[in-house]
Amino acid sequence: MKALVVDDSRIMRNIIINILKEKKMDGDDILDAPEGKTALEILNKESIDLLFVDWNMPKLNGLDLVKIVRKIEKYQDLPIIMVTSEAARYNVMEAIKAGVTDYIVKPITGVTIMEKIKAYM
Amino acid sequence: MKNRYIWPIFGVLVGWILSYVSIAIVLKQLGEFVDTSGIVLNPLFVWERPIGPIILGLASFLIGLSRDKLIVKQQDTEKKNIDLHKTMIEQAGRLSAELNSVMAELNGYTYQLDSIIETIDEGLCLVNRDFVIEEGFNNSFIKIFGDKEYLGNSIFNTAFSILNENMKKETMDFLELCFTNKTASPSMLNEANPIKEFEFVQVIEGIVVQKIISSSINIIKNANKEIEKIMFVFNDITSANELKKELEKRDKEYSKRYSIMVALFGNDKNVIKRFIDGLEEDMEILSKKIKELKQNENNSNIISDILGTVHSIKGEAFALGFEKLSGIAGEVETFFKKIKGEVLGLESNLEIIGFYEKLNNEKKEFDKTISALEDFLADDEVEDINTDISSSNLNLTDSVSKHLGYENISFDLLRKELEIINKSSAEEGGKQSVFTLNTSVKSIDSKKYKLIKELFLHLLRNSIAHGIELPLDRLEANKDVNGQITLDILKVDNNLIFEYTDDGTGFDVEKIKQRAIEHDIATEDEISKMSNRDIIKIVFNDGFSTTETVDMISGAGVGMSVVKKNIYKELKGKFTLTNRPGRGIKIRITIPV
Amino acid sequence: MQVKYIQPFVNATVKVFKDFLGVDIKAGQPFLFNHNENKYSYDISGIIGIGGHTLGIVVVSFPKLVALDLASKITGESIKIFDDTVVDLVGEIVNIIAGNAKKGLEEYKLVISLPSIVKGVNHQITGVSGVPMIGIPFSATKGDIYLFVSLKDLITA
Repeated sequence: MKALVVDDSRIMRNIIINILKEKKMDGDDILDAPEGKTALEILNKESIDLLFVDWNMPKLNGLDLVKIVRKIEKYQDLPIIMVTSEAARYNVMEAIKAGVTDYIVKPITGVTIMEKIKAYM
Repeated sequence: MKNRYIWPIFGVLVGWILSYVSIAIVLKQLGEFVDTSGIVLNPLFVWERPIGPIILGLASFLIGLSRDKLIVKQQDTEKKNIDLHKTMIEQAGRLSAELNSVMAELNGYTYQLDSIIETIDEGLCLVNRDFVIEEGFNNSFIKIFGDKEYLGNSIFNTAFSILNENMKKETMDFLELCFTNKTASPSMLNEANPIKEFEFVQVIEGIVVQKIISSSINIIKNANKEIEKIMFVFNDITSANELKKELEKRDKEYSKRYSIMVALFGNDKNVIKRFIDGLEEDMEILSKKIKELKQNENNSNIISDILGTVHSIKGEAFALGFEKLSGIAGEVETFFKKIKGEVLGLESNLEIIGFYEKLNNEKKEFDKTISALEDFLADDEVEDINTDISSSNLNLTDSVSKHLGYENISFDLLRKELEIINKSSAEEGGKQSVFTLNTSVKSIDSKKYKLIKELFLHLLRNSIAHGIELPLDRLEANKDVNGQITLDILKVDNNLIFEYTDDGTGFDVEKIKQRAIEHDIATEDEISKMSNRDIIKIVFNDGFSTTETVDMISGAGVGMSVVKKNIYKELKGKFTLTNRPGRGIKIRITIPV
Repeated sequence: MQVKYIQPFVNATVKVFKDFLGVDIKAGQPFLFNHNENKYSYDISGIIGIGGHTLGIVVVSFPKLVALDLASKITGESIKIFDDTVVDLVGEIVNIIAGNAKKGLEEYKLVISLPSIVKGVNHQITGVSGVPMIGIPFSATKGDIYLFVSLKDLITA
């Protein structure tokens, strides 16, 4: 199973990667990208099974990235988990419409993220 | 089996007869053409030429045999058929029995499911694409939302009719999204639920009931994995909510009490001691006044005095954190306010005694607790020589009559006491205030001290409750976030001058006018003729209050009248008040010493 | 201005320090920020612009030692200068505070910008002119962290 973590903050990327490793994922199977363009390259090249994406990023924000990913045939059913600081309800609605599968509000604790990703691993 | 043998014999006989007859016929026929008289037909001819009959007999035997076999076979087949039939019937019977038991189990489960659905507290309800409620809502749903015509009607016209237009729209958008979205997980959808918790108002038997309802949704798909319906799960969390608020309140109170205890074990032993002595005095006064009450028809003034005393006990006990005592004093106060001006019958008199006893008992309990802390309250330091409370006397429950009159109490103690009251009142009201006492005057006799302390206790509480604004309101008004309350004490000739200021909003003249009219203290006409100064004076009358609720700090309508009474009647002094709307108040009290 | 408008920011600050950094901090008394008083000293700040039905900024400011201490805690390394990690962390912290605060202020339909970081010994940040900026100190082990909120319509609400 391959996962891709997209966030402009290296600290956030590392946090999620470490949690995935705790969940017994092989380090080689966890990929990361600091912004949308690189993320799309990886998604096209590899076969990703789980995608984590931040919302507020420079150049291509997370929501637009999700909309693009959903247009890719092989990723119609890809579990996409948005990890963001945006906590308002209308943000969640926007994310649902864009095609996000699950939503985690920062600050994240190990416990909450483990619970949420259990279903996808 | 018998047939097997009968047939051949029968066959031979028939064969023989047939042969004879046929030959005879043939001969007869031939006789017409040929002379056949010479031929004699021997019946036993058959035996000389037995081929025919033998063949016939054999044939019959064989036929018989096979017929038997056929019959047996037939019988066997029939038997087999019958057996098969039996087996089939048995199996069918068993299947039928199994089916019956499965059906029974299923019925049992359905029954259980139904009874579960009917007994759970959660209200369940199914809506379709058009938000119309379908078959399947349970009793709890009806209990939560009331008895309405749900089936076939939109949930927005029935259960959700109470929601405001904006909420309705948001909920409709949300449901629409639930029906059309294919990617979001159930947990994510529930996070976007705009009515996770909402207020619901119902009129049950003429009473308006306010509930807090929680909701969550489940997506119901059909066999083709298409979203067909949404199931709502509702919960009445009103009491859970209230319990939570209650616990939060209690937590706050406990932490407040804890900090008061910490203060208790701090440096203000003398304050505690003063309080104990004062309490003793007050209870004596109270008892005296209640006796007077019995002998006097005109009780209004006596009750005013009683109210003043009890109000002070309440305030001081509260400030020091003795909540139970304070609470009971509050009950007594409420009672006396109620009966003021009424003619006192037997029942009222009994009640008066009852309330006094209740307060007295609590005081005795209080004394017991305090005497258990004797050691702690005993002075072992030399620094407290200013206060003349006998420090070596460990029996704190002694009557303090000997303390009345001639001992002098330092104003340092007044500072401490008022600081405590400032702190607890501010915390209670969510305000921030700093109290400063400046004086070069050393002390005053204890009788006057008590009256002075009491009146400033009420002024202070009034300032904090009504004058000083909430911190952020003060910031907005370009004031320091902390309210400033100061008391300066000077001695000029034979007078003590107290200058008290606060930098709050001052007296709200309009509000006082309003209240005065509401309480029939003055008519609109009279009010219009009064100057602002006169209007503010109304505040210092008995029973006047501008607050909506009677809270612990003040608002009982007693405090300010105590101020007036203490100054004019008891201390034989006078006061002037300067009201600066928006900027605070300044009070100047002159007392002869 | 009512407490309820500041509260979401205060709550978010306490939450991010607790859940994210494992640090318990407590809010002190709010004060009105006056840039003429040179009372406060911080060395790195994260700023986020806020728009929507109101305009303003939210700022989180740290003294040097506190920022370095937090960055070291979260990475497990010993960080001694304001490198990319510290900048990243300050940006994330102010981002989470602003994003979380949206929840208590949903009727204002707030929109937040990407964070900007200011580095400089003893600097100050002043808000939109004419709009007061409320400061709230939080005490942490190595010093005080400051939260500043300046929002046009909320201050005058």
